[in-house]
Amino acid sequence: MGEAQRSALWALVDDGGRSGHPEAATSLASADAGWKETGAPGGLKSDTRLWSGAAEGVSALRGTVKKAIDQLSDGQKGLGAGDEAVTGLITGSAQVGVYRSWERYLDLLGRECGELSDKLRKAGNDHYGNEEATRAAFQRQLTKPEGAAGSGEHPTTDGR
Amino acid sequence: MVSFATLRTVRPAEFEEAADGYHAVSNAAGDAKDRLTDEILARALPDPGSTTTDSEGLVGAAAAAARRRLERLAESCHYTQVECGLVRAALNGFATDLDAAKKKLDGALDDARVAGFTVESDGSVTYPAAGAKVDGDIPDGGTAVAYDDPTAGAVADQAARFDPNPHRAAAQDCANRIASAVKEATDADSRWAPRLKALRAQNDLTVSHADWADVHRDQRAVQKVAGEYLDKADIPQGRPPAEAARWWTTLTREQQADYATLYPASIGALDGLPADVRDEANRAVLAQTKGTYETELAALPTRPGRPGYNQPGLSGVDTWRDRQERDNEWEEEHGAEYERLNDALTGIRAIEKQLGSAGQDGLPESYLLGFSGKDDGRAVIAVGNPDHADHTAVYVPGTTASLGNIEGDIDRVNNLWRDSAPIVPDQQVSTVAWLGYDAPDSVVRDAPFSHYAHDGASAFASFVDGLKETNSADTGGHHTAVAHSYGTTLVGATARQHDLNVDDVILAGSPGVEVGSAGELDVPEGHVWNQEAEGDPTPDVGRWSHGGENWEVGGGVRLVPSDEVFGAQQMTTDTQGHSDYWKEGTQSLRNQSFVITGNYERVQHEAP
Repeated sequence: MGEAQRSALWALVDDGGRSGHPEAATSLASADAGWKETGAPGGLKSDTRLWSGAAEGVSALRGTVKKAIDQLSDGQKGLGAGDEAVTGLITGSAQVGVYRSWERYLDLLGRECGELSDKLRKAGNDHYGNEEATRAAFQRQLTKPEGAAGSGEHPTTDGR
Repeated sequence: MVSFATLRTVRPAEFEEAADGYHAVSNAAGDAKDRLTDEILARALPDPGSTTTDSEGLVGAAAAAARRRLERLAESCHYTQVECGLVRAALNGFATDLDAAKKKLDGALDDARVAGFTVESDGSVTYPAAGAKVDGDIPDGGTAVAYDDPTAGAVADQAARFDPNPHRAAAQDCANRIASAVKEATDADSRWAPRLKALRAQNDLTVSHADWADVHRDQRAVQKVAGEYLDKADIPQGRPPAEAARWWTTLTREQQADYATLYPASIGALDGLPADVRDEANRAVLAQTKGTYETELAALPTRPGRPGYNQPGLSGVDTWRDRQERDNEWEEEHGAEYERLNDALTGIRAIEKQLGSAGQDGLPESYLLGFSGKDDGRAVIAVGNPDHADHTAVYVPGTTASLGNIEGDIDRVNNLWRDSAPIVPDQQVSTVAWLGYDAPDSVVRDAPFSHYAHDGASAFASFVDGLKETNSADTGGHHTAVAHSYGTTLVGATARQHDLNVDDVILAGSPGVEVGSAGELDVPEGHVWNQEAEGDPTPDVGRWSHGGENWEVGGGVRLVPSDEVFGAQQMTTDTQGHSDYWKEGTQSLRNQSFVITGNYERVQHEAP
């Protein structure tokens, strides 16, 4: 949460009146209840809700990806490295490579989902402290492809 | 080489089961992409450039950084959806070819078994001694072998025919059929393996334009070998929408999915197919076209740069005239291409923005019902699903409409949707921007010619018929054509040359509709509505090119819809000039909304 978005009023409200302005705290607290839940500056509560909502959404996506990986592997019966369909057919053997590549890619996407939902949740909990630190957190790429670094480029048809 | 033993034991269904797994992945990826753009991004992290000031959402640099990561993730999901769809299609195609070969093999093996022959492990066929005695002995049995070499094969066949053992010919036939089945399997295997290999997933989190261009190439490569499995020629292109709708229902769900994956351009353009099917297919075309165009743009040599001053010290070697000449050369060689690609990409970005705008400013989901980058481009975008809509309006733009300019047309249908939907809160509304024809490029040079309207008329008639075919609203669906400028001429040409199957027609700034009276526009009396704003010169300027003749009035007169005698209902306008009829918050717009929602009695009429 950026400094710019925290209204100074919050400092008074959070204070609970300890700084000696109990009447200010009370009236501000009731005013707070009347604030519309918009993204307008000072809407700290709604920002939290938005970050958390996004975090939950992305977390659910990770589940979707995991389920897809399971369904993908379920379909591989009879197409394992030692099976006739693979040893006797070049298409079968090609499929093994294709399957492994998608298994790896979906795992990568799942890990990216995990990293993002974690960061979104932290942003909602004001874990990073300020706007700049939050931005930097999302800028940092923790999830990396596994295996050979390479170019990671989409394989081409090699002119065929 | 596929061996006889392999073909004997292998189960093509295993490849189909694998295909199902990729299908599940493709669907999940599509769902994930939709949820990211329509829910997560739309609600929490909308694009600040496209929303109005009172929309909700996170703002700031941190939100922007989060949005970039999530947009990239959505792109990865789309890539997964399309590419895994191709893997599924390829595996289904291979399974079909393999199965056909295996059936032939099984047929030959059955016949051999019934005849009492023994099929050896190498596919040769051993037959017993049999036949009328020759020189006191029953003719010997033997083993029939199939030959690759045609000459050797012919010799063997010949010998078999003349052998006194009657089994030999039958055994030779079995052996030949076995070999032929194995060869068919081998051909299929060689054909599909390289295509499949190209469908491996990439290994990074960015889907670049080169990646999308590769997807496009992969798709074409799979199409080339898919002929047996799913014939492109079977797609009822150019047929009446009712026929296309019927064809679609005869396909299994699997075939539907594979057709849409392999031939997205054809399926996306097919009037009569459900909106969500066309939308998904066209989105794949959009992404691939964008990738291809961006790659082509990047491949153009950089423009030398506007010549300016003579550089000190170099003026003798490289004058500004030299640079001017180089710049002119670049312009001559690459200028048109550069402009074409840039214009198309501008339009593509506008469409992408719209497709990602569900939930913003109250807008519903949008559907891409048509897209092509060729020529001036084609784009058909529906705001709200027209298949479920009680009221649908199809907006036809006029001169200079092109893919590059599509953003303006999208804005108009957005305005029309936002203005009309609240009028009928218990019903569903869809507004469609239809750039489905080659609009005249120049107001001055091209617009007077009618052929643009005539060429587009059959496309428009088919599109409207397609909407009616797929509409499932309980109320039966109410359709309005909303046309602007030259678009009105196209609508008139459609009524004149084909059947305009709408319930209401709205004409704004019309230079003439080729027919001389409202009664010729195929809608019931009182259902033609006209608007001419103050300061709009088009109706008078266009009269002599596109006005229609009305012999009841007296010959030789060319009428436009603004003429009272034409017989249209004249609606009021409170906007100025030729282009503001869809401005937000105006009576001009509101009158249109009343018509398209069937609230005719609320329309404000011009004083006669």
